[in-house]
Amino acid sequence: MDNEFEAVRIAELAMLDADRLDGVPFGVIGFTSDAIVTVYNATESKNAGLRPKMVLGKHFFGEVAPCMNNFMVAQRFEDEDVLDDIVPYVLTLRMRPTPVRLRLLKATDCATRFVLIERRATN
Amino acid sequence: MVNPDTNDLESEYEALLSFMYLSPVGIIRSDLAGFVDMLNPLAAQLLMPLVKDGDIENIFDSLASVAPELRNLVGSFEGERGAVCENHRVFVTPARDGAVVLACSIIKVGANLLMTVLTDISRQVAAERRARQTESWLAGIYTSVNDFAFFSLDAEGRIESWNPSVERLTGFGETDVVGHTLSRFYARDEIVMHRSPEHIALTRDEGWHVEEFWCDTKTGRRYWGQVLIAVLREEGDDISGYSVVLRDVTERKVSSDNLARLLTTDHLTGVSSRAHFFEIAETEVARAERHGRALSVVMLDADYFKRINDTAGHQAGDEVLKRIAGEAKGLLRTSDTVARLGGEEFILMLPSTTTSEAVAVAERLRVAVERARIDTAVGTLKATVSLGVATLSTANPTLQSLLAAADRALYDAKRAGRNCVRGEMLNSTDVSCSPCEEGSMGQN
Repeated sequence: MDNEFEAVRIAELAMLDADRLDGVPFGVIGFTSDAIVTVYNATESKNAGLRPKMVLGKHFFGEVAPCMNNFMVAQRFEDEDVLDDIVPYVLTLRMRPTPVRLRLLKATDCATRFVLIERRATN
Repeated sequence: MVNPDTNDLESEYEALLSFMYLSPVGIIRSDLAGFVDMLNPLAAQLLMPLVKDGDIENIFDSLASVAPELRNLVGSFEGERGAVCENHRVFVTPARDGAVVLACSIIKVGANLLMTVLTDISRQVAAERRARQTESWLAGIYTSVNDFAFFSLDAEGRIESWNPSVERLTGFGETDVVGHTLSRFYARDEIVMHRSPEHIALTRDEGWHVEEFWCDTKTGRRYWGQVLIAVLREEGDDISGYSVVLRDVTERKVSSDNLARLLTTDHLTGVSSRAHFFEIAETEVARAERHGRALSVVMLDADYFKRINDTAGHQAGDEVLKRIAGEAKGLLRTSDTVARLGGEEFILMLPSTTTSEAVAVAERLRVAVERARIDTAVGTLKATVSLGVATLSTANPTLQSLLAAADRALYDAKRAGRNCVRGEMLNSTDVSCSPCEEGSMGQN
Protein backbone atom coordinates (compact mmCIF):
# COMPACT_ATOMS: atom_id res chain seq x y z
CA MET A 1 0.00 0.00 0.00
CA ASP A 2 2.73 2.42 0.93
CA ASN A 3 4.51 1.56 -2.22
CA GLU A 4 1.58 2.40 -4.40
CA PHE A 5 1.07 5.69 -2.55
CA GLU A 6 4.67 6.60 -3.15
CA ALA A 7 5.17 5.01 -6.54
CA VAL A 8 2.11 5.67 -8.66
CA ARG A 9 2.75 8.10 -11.47
CA ILE A 10 0.49 10.97 -12.37
CA ALA A 11 0.05 9.70 -15.91
CA GLU A 12 -1.28 6.43 -14.58
CA LEU A 13 -3.69 8.12 -12.23
CA ALA A 14 -5.03 10.27 -14.98
CA MET A 15 -5.96 7.22 -17.01
CA LEU A 16 -7.81 5.31 -14.28
CA ASP A 17 -11.57 5.20 -14.55
CA ALA A 18 -13.89 5.87 -11.64
CA ASP A 19 -14.18 2.27 -10.50
CA ARG A 20 -10.46 1.69 -10.51
CA LEU A 21 -9.96 4.92 -8.59
CA ASP A 22 -12.48 3.88 -6.00
CA GLY A 23 -10.48 0.71 -5.45
CA VAL A 24 -7.30 2.62 -4.63
CA PRO A 25 -6.56 2.24 -0.89
CA PHE A 26 -5.64 5.89 -0.27
CA GLY A 27 -7.53 9.11 -0.87
CA VAL A 28 -7.32 10.57 -4.38
CA ILE A 29 -8.49 14.10 -5.14
CA GLY A 30 -7.99 15.53 -8.62
CA PHE A 31 -8.59 19.12 -9.66
CA THR A 32 -8.13 21.40 -12.67
CA SER A 33 -5.73 24.31 -13.01
CA ASP A 34 -8.58 26.44 -11.65
CA ALA A 35 -8.68 24.16 -8.58
CA ILE A 36 -12.12 22.77 -9.41
CA VAL A 37 -12.46 19.22 -8.09
CA THR A 38 -12.97 16.67 -10.83
CA VAL A 39 -11.83 13.47 -9.11
CA TYR A 40 -12.86 12.30 -5.63
CA ASN A 41 -12.51 8.63 -4.87
CA ALA A 42 -14.52 6.44 -2.50
CA THR A 43 -11.64 5.97 -0.07
CA GLU A 44 -11.38 9.68 0.55
CA SER A 45 -15.12 10.08 0.71
CA LYS A 46 -15.33 7.45 3.43
CA ASN A 47 -12.40 8.81 5.39
CA ALA A 48 -13.56 12.39 5.23
CA GLY A 49 -17.25 11.72 5.66
CA LEU A 50 -18.13 13.80 2.63
CA ARG A 51 -20.38 12.69 -0.19
CA PRO A 52 -18.79 13.11 -3.62
CA LYS A 53 -21.53 15.40 -4.83
CA MET A 54 -20.66 17.80 -2.01
CA VAL A 55 -17.14 18.01 -3.33
CA LEU A 56 -17.12 17.62 -7.10
CA GLY A 57 -17.26 20.93 -8.94
CA LYS A 58 -16.21 22.93 -5.88
CA HIS A 59 -13.05 24.95 -5.47
CA PHE A 60 -10.62 22.63 -3.72
CA PHE A 61 -8.63 25.08 -1.63
CA GLY A 62 -11.46 27.53 -1.08
CA GLU A 63 -14.30 25.23 -0.19
CA VAL A 64 -13.18 21.66 0.27
CA ALA A 65 -9.77 21.81 1.94
CA PRO A 66 -9.15 25.30 3.27
CA CYS A 67 -6.58 23.84 5.63
CA MET A 68 -4.34 23.28 2.62
CA ASN A 69 -4.70 26.84 1.37
CA ASN A 70 -1.20 27.98 2.29
CA PHE A 71 2.29 28.02 0.88
CA MET A 72 2.87 24.42 1.86
CA VAL A 73 0.25 23.06 -0.54
CA ALA A 74 -1.80 25.53 -2.59
CA GLN A 75 1.09 27.89 -3.28
CA ARG A 76 3.28 25.06 -4.50
CA PHE A 77 0.74 24.09 -7.16
CA GLU A 78 0.86 27.74 -8.29
CA ASP A 79 4.60 28.19 -8.21
CA GLU A 80 5.99 24.92 -9.49
CA ASP A 81 5.53 23.56 -13.00
CA VAL A 82 6.27 20.00 -12.02
CA LEU A 83 5.41 18.61 -8.59
CA ASP A 84 5.97 15.24 -7.05
CA ASP A 85 6.49 15.55 -3.35
CA ILE A 86 5.38 13.96 -0.11
CA VAL A 87 4.68 16.22 2.87
CA PRO A 88 3.49 15.36 6.35
CA TYR A 89 0.30 17.23 7.18
CA VAL A 90 -2.58 17.56 9.60
CA LEU A 91 -6.11 17.57 8.24
CA THR A 92 -9.13 18.80 10.17
CA LEU A 93 -11.86 16.50 9.01
CA ARG A 94 -14.75 16.70 11.43
CA MET A 95 -12.56 19.22 13.27
CA ARG A 96 -10.28 16.47 14.56
CA PRO A 97 -6.57 16.82 13.99
CA THR A 98 -5.79 14.05 11.58
CA PRO A 99 -2.12 13.40 10.81
CA VAL A 100 -1.64 12.31 7.22
CA ARG A 101 0.89 12.20 4.45
CA LEU A 102 0.08 14.19 1.36
CA ARG A 103 1.51 13.48 -2.04
CA LEU A 104 1.39 16.45 -4.36
CA LEU A 105 1.36 15.67 -8.09
CA LYS A 106 1.52 18.02 -11.04
CA ALA A 107 2.88 17.52 -14.56
CA THR A 108 3.11 19.74 -17.62
CA ASP A 109 1.46 17.20 -19.88
CA CYS A 110 -1.39 16.42 -17.53
CA ALA A 111 -4.51 18.57 -17.20
CA THR A 112 -5.41 17.22 -13.80
CA ARG A 113 -3.45 17.85 -10.63
CA PHE A 114 -3.63 15.41 -7.75
CA VAL A 115 -3.42 15.36 -4.01
CA LEU A 116 -3.11 11.86 -2.55
CA ILE A 117 -3.96 11.42 1.10
CA GLU A 118 -2.66 8.57 3.24
CA ARG A 119 -3.76 8.45 6.79
CA ARG A 120 -0.89 7.71 9.11
CA ALA A 121 -2.69 5.78 11.77
CA THR A 122 -6.24 4.63 12.07
CA ASN A 123 -8.25 6.37 14.78
CA MET B 1 -36.70 1.43 12.97
CA VAL B 2 -36.52 4.34 10.58
CA ASN B 3 -35.89 7.61 12.31
CA PRO B 4 -37.74 10.24 10.31
CA ASP B 5 -35.38 12.86 11.66
CA THR B 6 -32.24 11.15 10.36
CA ASN B 7 -32.17 13.10 7.12
CA ASP B 8 -32.70 16.36 8.96
CA LEU B 9 -29.95 15.51 11.39
CA GLU B 10 -27.61 14.63 8.57
CA SER B 11 -28.32 17.87 6.76
CA GLU B 12 -27.95 19.81 9.99
CA TYR B 13 -24.68 18.05 10.62
CA GLU B 14 -23.41 18.75 7.16
CA ALA B 15 -24.46 22.36 7.47
CA LEU B 16 -22.61 22.67 10.79
CA LEU B 17 -19.51 21.08 9.33
CA SER B 18 -19.61 23.40 6.41
CA PHE B 19 -20.08 26.34 8.76
CA MET B 20 -16.93 25.40 10.67
CA TYR B 21 -15.01 24.59 7.51
CA LEU B 22 -15.57 27.96 6.02
CA SER B 23 -14.91 29.96 9.16
CA PRO B 24 -12.45 32.75 8.37
CA VAL B 25 -10.87 32.55 11.79
CA GLY B 26 -8.87 29.66 13.13
CA ILE B 27 -10.38 28.00 16.21
CA ILE B 28 -8.63 25.43 18.37
CA ARG B 29 -9.86 23.51 21.37
CA SER B 30 -7.23 22.13 23.70
CA ASP B 31 -6.56 21.25 27.28
CA LEU B 32 -4.58 23.50 29.59
CA ALA B 33 -1.36 21.83 28.55
CA GLY B 34 -2.10 22.68 24.95
CA PHE B 35 -2.97 19.27 23.58
CA VAL B 36 -5.35 19.76 20.68
CA ASP B 37 -8.52 17.78 20.36
CA MET B 38 -10.43 19.90 17.87
CA LEU B 39 -9.40 22.51 15.33
CA ASN B 40 -10.88 23.94 12.15
CA PRO B 41 -9.20 24.12 8.73
CA LEU B 42 -8.11 27.71 9.00
CA ALA B 43 -6.30 26.96 12.25
CA ALA B 44 -4.41 24.19 10.46
CA GLN B 45 -3.75 26.50 7.55
CA LEU B 46 -2.14 29.04 9.86
CA LEU B 47 -0.26 26.59 12.08
CA MET B 48 1.09 24.12 9.56
CA PRO B 49 3.80 26.41 8.19
CA LEU B 50 5.11 26.84 11.73
CA VAL B 51 5.70 23.22 12.53
CA LYS B 52 8.61 21.33 11.06
CA ASP B 53 7.36 17.82 11.22
CA GLY B 54 3.77 18.40 10.22
CA ASP B 55 2.49 17.75 13.68
CA ILE B 56 0.18 20.10 15.52
CA GLU B 57 -0.62 17.87 18.40
CA ASN B 58 0.15 20.58 20.90
CA ILE B 59 -0.58 24.20 20.23
CA PHE B 60 2.11 25.58 22.52
CA ASP B 61 4.71 23.39 20.90
CA SER B 62 3.50 24.44 17.48
CA LEU B 63 3.85 28.12 18.34
CA ALA B 64 7.00 27.69 20.43
CA SER B 65 9.25 29.05 17.73
CA VAL B 66 7.37 32.32 17.38
CA ALA B 67 5.41 32.75 20.62
CA PRO B 68 7.10 30.82 23.42
CA GLU B 69 5.42 33.04 25.98
CA LEU B 70 1.95 31.54 25.45
CA ARG B 71 2.52 28.54 27.64
CA ASN B 72 3.53 30.82 30.51
CA LEU B 73 0.60 33.12 29.96
CA VAL B 74 -1.78 30.22 30.38
CA GLY B 75 0.20 28.79 33.23
CA SER B 76 0.11 31.98 35.22
CA PHE B 77 -3.57 32.66 34.61
CA GLU B 78 -5.21 32.21 37.96
CA GLY B 79 -8.92 32.57 37.21
CA GLU B 80 -11.31 29.72 36.75
CA ARG B 81 -12.33 31.07 33.39
CA GLY B 82 -11.68 34.17 31.31
CA ALA B 83 -9.49 35.69 28.63
CA VAL B 84 -5.85 34.72 29.06
CA CYS B 85 -4.81 36.98 26.22
CA GLU B 86 -6.60 38.95 23.52
CA ASN B 87 -5.24 39.65 20.06
CA HIS B 88 -1.75 38.87 21.22
CA ARG B 89 0.49 39.51 18.23
CA VAL B 90 2.55 36.64 16.90
CA PHE B 91 5.19 37.56 14.35
CA VAL B 92 5.58 34.52 12.18
CA THR B 93 8.16 36.11 9.93
CA PRO B 94 10.52 38.91 11.02
CA ALA B 95 9.00 42.34 11.21
CA ARG B 96 9.29 44.04 7.83
CA ASP B 97 6.99 44.80 4.93
CA GLY B 98 5.08 41.74 3.86
CA ALA B 99 5.59 40.01 7.18
CA VAL B 100 3.08 37.44 8.33
CA VAL B 101 1.48 38.39 11.65
CA LEU B 102 -1.14 36.46 13.57
CA ALA B 103 -3.44 37.63 16.32
CA CYS B 104 -3.93 35.05 19.05
CA SER B 105 -6.68 35.12 21.66
CA ILE B 106 -6.84 32.40 24.32
CA ILE B 107 -9.86 31.91 26.51
CA LYS B 108 -9.96 29.56 29.43
CA VAL B 109 -13.40 28.06 29.26
CA GLY B 110 -13.23 25.52 32.06
CA ALA B 111 -10.92 23.79 34.48
CA ASN B 112 -8.99 22.07 31.72
CA LEU B 113 -10.31 23.64 28.54
CA LEU B 114 -8.84 26.33 26.38
CA MET B 115 -10.32 27.90 23.26
CA THR B 116 -7.80 29.63 21.05
CA VAL B 117 -8.64 31.92 18.16
CA LEU B 118 -6.05 32.64 15.50
CA THR B 119 -6.44 35.24 12.75
CA ASP B 120 -4.08 36.48 10.09
CA ILE B 121 -3.65 40.24 10.56
CA SER B 122 -0.68 40.69 8.23
CA ARG B 123 -2.46 43.20 6.00
CA GLN B 124 -3.63 45.26 8.94
CA VAL B 125 -0.15 45.34 10.43
CA ALA B 126 1.30 46.41 7.10
CA ALA B 127 -1.21 49.24 6.93
CA GLU B 128 -0.28 50.31 10.46
CA ARG B 129 3.37 50.28 9.51
CA ARG B 130 2.69 52.44 6.47
CA ALA B 131 0.70 54.88 8.58
CA ARG B 132 3.54 55.08 11.10
CA GLN B 133 6.01 55.70 8.31
CA THR B 134 3.88 58.50 6.94
CA GLU B 135 3.57 60.00 10.39
CA SER B 136 7.29 60.00 10.99
CA TRP B 137 7.90 61.40 7.53
CA LEU B 138 5.51 64.21 8.32
CA ALA B 139 7.07 64.72 11.73
CA GLY B 140 10.46 64.91 10.04
CA ILE B 141 9.17 67.65 7.82
CA TYR B 142 7.52 69.75 10.43
CA THR B 143 10.37 69.53 12.87
CA SER B 144 12.89 70.70 10.32
CA VAL B 145 10.89 73.07 8.20
CA ASN B 146 11.56 76.71 8.87
CA ASP B 147 9.55 78.88 6.63
CA PHE B 148 6.21 77.20 6.32
CA ALA B 149 3.55 75.75 8.55
CA PHE B 150 1.04 73.09 7.69
CA PHE B 151 -2.07 72.12 9.56
CA SER B 152 -5.64 71.11 8.91
CA LEU B 153 -9.09 72.59 9.22
CA ASP B 154 -12.28 70.74 10.01
CA ALA B 155 -15.23 70.75 7.63
CA GLU B 156 -16.39 74.10 9.03
CA GLY B 157 -13.05 75.77 8.44
CA ARG B 158 -11.84 75.77 12.03
CA ILE B 159 -8.26 74.82 12.79
CA GLU B 160 -8.31 71.30 14.14
CA SER B 161 -4.69 70.26 14.31
CA TRP B 162 -1.44 71.89 15.34
CA ASN B 163 2.21 70.93 15.18
CA PRO B 164 5.51 72.68 15.91
CA SER B 165 5.76 74.09 12.38
CA VAL B 166 2.84 76.38 13.20
CA GLU B 167 4.56 77.77 16.25
CA ARG B 168 7.83 78.16 14.46
CA LEU B 169 6.26 80.29 11.75
CA THR B 170 3.54 82.19 13.58
CA GLY B 171 4.50 82.02 17.22
CA PHE B 172 1.13 80.53 18.16
CA GLY B 173 0.87 77.44 20.32
CA GLU B 174 -1.75 74.74 20.16
CA THR B 175 -4.27 76.37 22.46
CA ASP B 176 -3.91 79.66 20.60
CA VAL B 177 -5.12 78.31 17.30
CA VAL B 178 -7.19 75.17 17.62
CA GLY B 179 -10.85 76.01 17.12
CA HIS B 180 -10.12 79.37 15.47
CA THR B 181 -10.45 80.21 11.79
CA LEU B 182 -7.62 81.31 9.52
CA SER B 183 -8.24 84.92 10.53
CA ARG B 184 -6.25 84.09 13.65
CA PHE B 185 -3.15 84.71 11.57
CA TYR B 186 -4.16 87.93 9.79
CA ALA B 187 -2.54 91.28 10.66
CA ARG B 188 -4.83 93.38 12.83
CA ASP B 189 -5.40 96.09 10.28
CA GLU B 190 -5.29 93.88 7.23
CA ILE B 191 -8.07 94.02 4.68
CA VAL B 192 -8.13 90.49 3.44
CA MET B 193 -9.83 89.86 0.14
CA HIS B 194 -11.53 86.69 1.23
CA ARG B 195 -11.96 86.11 4.92
CA SER B 196 -12.98 82.83 6.44
CA PRO B 197 -15.51 81.42 5.63
CA GLU B 198 -15.17 82.76 2.09
CA HIS B 199 -11.78 81.03 1.87
CA ILE B 200 -13.62 77.80 2.47
CA ALA B 201 -16.38 78.38 -0.04
CA LEU B 202 -13.84 79.21 -2.74
CA THR B 203 -11.79 76.17 -1.86
CA ARG B 204 -14.82 73.93 -2.06
CA ASP B 205 -15.68 75.17 -5.51
CA GLU B 206 -12.25 74.86 -7.03
CA GLY B 207 -10.75 72.12 -4.86
CA TRP B 208 -8.03 74.53 -3.76
CA HIS B 209 -7.43 78.22 -3.19
CA VAL B 210 -4.35 80.43 -2.80
CA GLU B 211 -4.25 83.89 -1.30
CA GLU B 212 -1.72 86.31 0.14
CA PHE B 213 -2.07 88.92 2.85
CA TRP B 214 -0.31 90.66 5.72
CA CYS B 215 -0.03 88.50 8.84
CA ASP B 216 1.07 89.12 12.39
CA THR B 217 2.95 86.62 14.54
CA LYS B 218 1.94 86.22 18.15
CA THR B 219 4.49 88.87 19.11
CA GLY B 220 3.17 91.26 16.48
CA ARG B 221 5.89 90.86 13.89
CA ARG B 222 4.45 91.49 10.48
CA TYR B 223 5.04 89.16 7.56
CA TRP B 224 3.54 88.63 4.11
CA GLY B 225 1.85 85.27 4.19
CA GLN B 226 0.72 83.01 1.42
CA VAL B 227 -1.92 80.45 2.22
CA LEU B 228 -2.79 77.39 0.15
CA ILE B 229 -5.94 75.57 1.15
CA ALA B 230 -6.94 72.24 -0.36
CA VAL B 231 -9.94 70.03 0.14
CA LEU B 232 -9.56 66.78 2.03
CA ARG B 233 -12.09 64.21 0.99
CA GLU B 234 -13.44 61.20 2.76
CA GLU B 235 -14.20 58.17 0.71
CA GLY B 236 -17.49 58.89 -0.93
CA ASP B 237 -16.65 62.47 -1.84
CA ASP B 238 -17.71 64.05 1.43
CA ILE B 239 -15.46 66.86 2.49
CA SER B 240 -13.85 65.87 5.76
CA GLY B 241 -11.82 69.04 6.13
CA TYR B 242 -9.06 71.07 4.54
CA SER B 243 -5.31 71.02 4.51
CA VAL B 244 -3.50 74.34 4.80
CA VAL B 245 0.05 75.35 4.00
CA LEU B 246 1.01 78.80 5.24
CA ARG B 247 4.25 80.32 4.01
CA ASP B 248 6.18 83.43 4.88
CA VAL B 249 6.84 85.03 1.49
CA THR B 250 7.86 88.46 2.73
CA GLU B 251 11.10 88.32 0.82
CA ARG B 252 9.28 87.74 -2.40
CA LYS B 253 6.88 90.60 -1.72
CA VAL B 254 9.69 92.97 -0.89
CA SER B 255 11.48 92.15 -4.10
CA SER B 256 8.28 92.49 -6.06
CA ASP B 257 7.72 95.87 -4.46
CA ASN B 258 11.25 96.71 -5.43
CA LEU B 259 10.51 95.52 -8.91
CA ALA B 260 7.48 97.75 -9.07
CA ARG B 261 9.63 100.64 -8.04
CA LEU B 262 12.20 99.72 -10.65
CA LEU B 263 9.60 99.70 -13.35
CA THR B 264 8.16 103.08 -12.52
CA THR B 265 11.12 105.22 -11.55
CA ASP B 266 13.91 106.77 -13.45
CA HIS B 267 17.04 104.85 -12.65
CA LEU B 268 19.42 107.79 -12.39
CA THR B 269 17.44 110.35 -10.49
CA GLY B 270 14.87 108.24 -8.64
CA VAL B 271 11.97 110.36 -9.79
CA SER B 272 9.13 108.83 -11.79
CA SER B 273 9.93 107.54 -15.24
CA ARG B 274 8.43 109.03 -18.35
CA ALA B 275 6.24 105.98 -18.87
CA HIS B 276 4.96 106.07 -15.35
CA PHE B 277 4.27 109.79 -15.61
CA PHE B 278 1.97 109.30 -18.56
CA GLU B 279 0.21 106.50 -16.76
CA ILE B 280 -0.72 108.68 -13.84
CA ALA B 281 -1.12 111.95 -15.72
CA GLU B 282 -4.28 110.86 -17.47
CA THR B 283 -5.76 109.86 -14.15
CA GLU B 284 -4.90 113.21 -12.61
CA VAL B 285 -6.45 115.13 -15.49
CA ALA B 286 -9.65 113.12 -15.26
CA ARG B 287 -9.78 113.56 -11.51
CA ALA B 288 -9.28 117.31 -11.78
CA GLU B 289 -12.10 117.57 -14.28
CA ARG B 290 -14.39 115.38 -12.27
CA HIS B 291 -13.93 117.38 -9.07
CA GLY B 292 -13.61 120.74 -10.75
CA ARG B 293 -10.19 121.35 -9.24
CA ALA B 294 -7.16 123.10 -10.68
CA LEU B 295 -4.28 121.12 -12.11
CA SER B 296 -0.97 122.69 -13.08
CA VAL B 297 2.27 121.40 -14.53
CA VAL B 298 5.76 122.84 -14.51
CA MET B 299 8.02 121.71 -17.30
CA LEU B 300 11.72 122.37 -16.68
CA ASP B 301 14.94 121.87 -18.45
CA ALA B 302 18.62 122.16 -17.36
CA ASP B 303 20.25 125.18 -19.09
CA TYR B 304 23.21 124.59 -21.41
CA PHE B 305 23.24 120.96 -20.43
CA LYS B 306 25.08 119.85 -23.55
CA ARG B 307 27.87 122.22 -22.69
CA ILE B 308 28.13 120.80 -19.17
CA ASN B 309 28.42 117.30 -20.54
CA ASP B 310 31.03 118.33 -23.10
CA THR B 311 33.20 120.26 -20.69
CA ALA B 312 32.78 118.47 -17.41
CA GLY B 313 31.94 115.02 -18.69
CA HIS B 314 28.81 112.87 -18.63
CA GLN B 315 29.27 111.73 -15.04
CA ALA B 316 29.27 115.32 -13.90
CA GLY B 317 26.21 115.93 -16.04
CA ASP B 318 24.48 113.05 -14.27
CA GLU B 319 25.25 114.62 -10.91
CA VAL B 320 23.66 117.85 -12.06
CA LEU B 321 20.53 116.05 -13.11
CA LYS B 322 20.38 114.21 -9.83
CA ARG B 323 20.66 117.45 -7.92
CA ILE B 324 17.92 119.14 -9.93
CA ALA B 325 15.67 116.15 -9.30
CA GLY B 326 16.53 116.21 -5.63
CA GLU B 327 15.68 119.89 -5.27
CA ALA B 328 12.40 119.30 -7.06
CA LYS B 329 11.48 116.37 -4.81
CA GLY B 330 12.25 118.47 -1.78
CA LEU B 331 9.62 121.02 -2.75
CA LEU B 332 6.79 118.62 -3.40
CA ARG B 333 3.73 117.70 -1.39
CA THR B 334 2.63 114.04 -1.22
CA SER B 335 0.05 114.52 -3.94
CA ASP B 336 2.58 116.02 -6.35
CA THR B 337 4.66 114.06 -8.84
CA VAL B 338 8.03 114.81 -10.40
CA ALA B 339 9.07 112.83 -13.45
CA ARG B 340 11.99 112.82 -15.84
CA LEU B 341 10.62 113.20 -19.34
CA GLY B 342 13.95 112.55 -20.98
CA GLY B 343 17.52 113.78 -21.21
CA GLU B 344 17.64 116.92 -19.13
CA GLU B 345 13.91 117.59 -19.10
CA PHE B 346 11.66 117.17 -16.05
CA ILE B 347 8.04 117.85 -15.27
CA LEU B 348 6.17 118.58 -12.06
CA MET B 349 2.53 117.55 -11.83
CA LEU B 350 0.73 119.66 -9.21
CA PRO B 351 -2.88 118.72 -8.48
CA SER B 352 -5.16 121.25 -6.79
CA THR B 353 -2.73 124.02 -7.73
CA THR B 354 -3.61 127.27 -9.50
CA THR B 355 -1.37 129.02 -11.98
CA SER B 356 -0.02 131.52 -9.48
CA GLU B 357 0.62 128.81 -6.90
CA ALA B 358 2.46 126.79 -9.55
CA VAL B 359 4.49 129.79 -10.55
CA ALA B 360 5.51 130.27 -6.93
CA VAL B 361 6.65 126.66 -6.73
CA ALA B 362 8.52 127.01 -10.02
CA GLU B 363 10.29 130.10 -8.78
CA ARG B 364 11.32 128.37 -5.53
CA LEU B 365 12.79 125.57 -7.57
CA ARG B 366 14.62 127.94 -9.87
CA VAL B 367 16.25 129.65 -6.90
CA ALA B 368 17.16 126.36 -5.23
CA VAL B 369 18.90 125.10 -8.34
CA GLU B 370 20.65 128.40 -8.91
CA ARG B 371 22.01 128.36 -5.38
CA ALA B 372 23.02 124.72 -5.46
CA ARG B 373 26.69 123.84 -5.42
CA ILE B 374 27.03 120.43 -7.02
CA ASP B 375 30.00 118.29 -6.06
CA THR B 376 31.42 116.24 -8.90
CA ALA B 377 34.63 114.43 -9.64
CA VAL B 378 35.79 117.40 -11.68
CA GLY B 379 34.96 120.04 -9.11
CA THR B 380 32.00 121.99 -7.82
CA LEU B 381 29.50 122.92 -10.50
CA LYS B 382 26.68 125.42 -10.70
CA ALA B 383 23.58 125.04 -12.87
CA THR B 384 20.32 126.73 -13.69
CA VAL B 385 16.96 125.65 -15.07
CA SER B 386 14.33 127.22 -17.27
CA LEU B 387 10.72 126.54 -16.28
CA GLY B 388 7.36 126.73 -18.10
CA VAL B 389 4.05 126.68 -16.27
CA ALA B 390 0.65 125.68 -17.64
CA THR B 391 -2.75 125.04 -16.04
CA LEU B 392 -5.68 122.90 -17.09
CA SER B 393 -8.33 125.25 -18.47
CA THR B 394 -10.79 125.71 -21.30
CA ALA B 395 -7.80 126.66 -23.41
CA ASN B 396 -5.94 123.52 -22.30
CA PRO B 397 -8.64 120.98 -21.61
CA THR B 398 -6.67 117.82 -22.24
CA LEU B 399 -3.37 116.40 -21.05
CA GLN B 400 -1.95 116.79 -24.52
CA SER B 401 -2.87 120.46 -24.79
CA LEU B 402 -1.70 121.07 -21.22
CA LEU B 403 1.72 119.63 -21.97
CA ALA B 404 1.92 121.56 -25.23
CA ALA B 405 1.19 124.78 -23.35
CA ALA B 406 3.85 124.01 -20.77
CA ASP B 407 6.28 123.28 -23.56
CA ARG B 408 5.55 126.63 -25.19
CA ALA B 409 6.04 128.35 -21.84
CA LEU B 410 9.37 126.59 -21.37
CA TYR B 411 10.42 127.76 -24.83
CA ASP B 412 9.50 131.30 -23.82
CA ALA B 413 11.69 130.97 -20.74
CA LYS B 414 14.63 129.84 -22.84
CA ARG B 415 14.14 132.67 -25.28
CA ALA B 416 13.88 135.13 -22.42
CA GLY B 417 17.44 134.27 -21.45
CA ARG B 418 17.06 131.08 -19.39
CA ASN B 419 17.08 130.68 -15.58
CA CYS B 420 13.56 132.03 -15.34
CA VAL B 421 9.91 131.05 -15.12
CA ARG B 422 7.37 131.67 -17.88
CA GLY B 423 3.71 130.76 -18.20
CA GLU B 424 1.00 131.54 -20.75
CA MET B 425 -1.34 134.29 -19.88
CA LEU B 426 1.31 135.75 -17.64
CA ASN B 427 3.06 139.04 -18.20
CA SER B 428 6.78 138.84 -17.86
CA THR B 429 6.48 141.56 -15.24
CA ASP B 430 4.46 139.23 -13.02
CA VAL B 431 7.37 136.92 -12.71
CA SER B 432 10.64 137.84 -11.14
CA CYS B 433 13.55 137.01 -13.28
CA SER B 434 17.17 136.86 -12.29
CA PRO B 435 19.90 137.87 -14.62
CA CYS B 436 20.75 134.88 -16.71
CA GLU B 437 24.14 133.28 -16.63
CA GLU B 438 25.58 130.75 -18.85
CA GLY B 439 26.13 127.44 -17.13
CA SER B 440 29.57 127.87 -15.67
CA MET B 441 32.18 125.72 -14.20
CA GLY B 442 33.04 128.09 -11.46
CA GLN B 443 35.43 126.88 -8.82
CA ASN B 444 34.23 128.00 -5.44
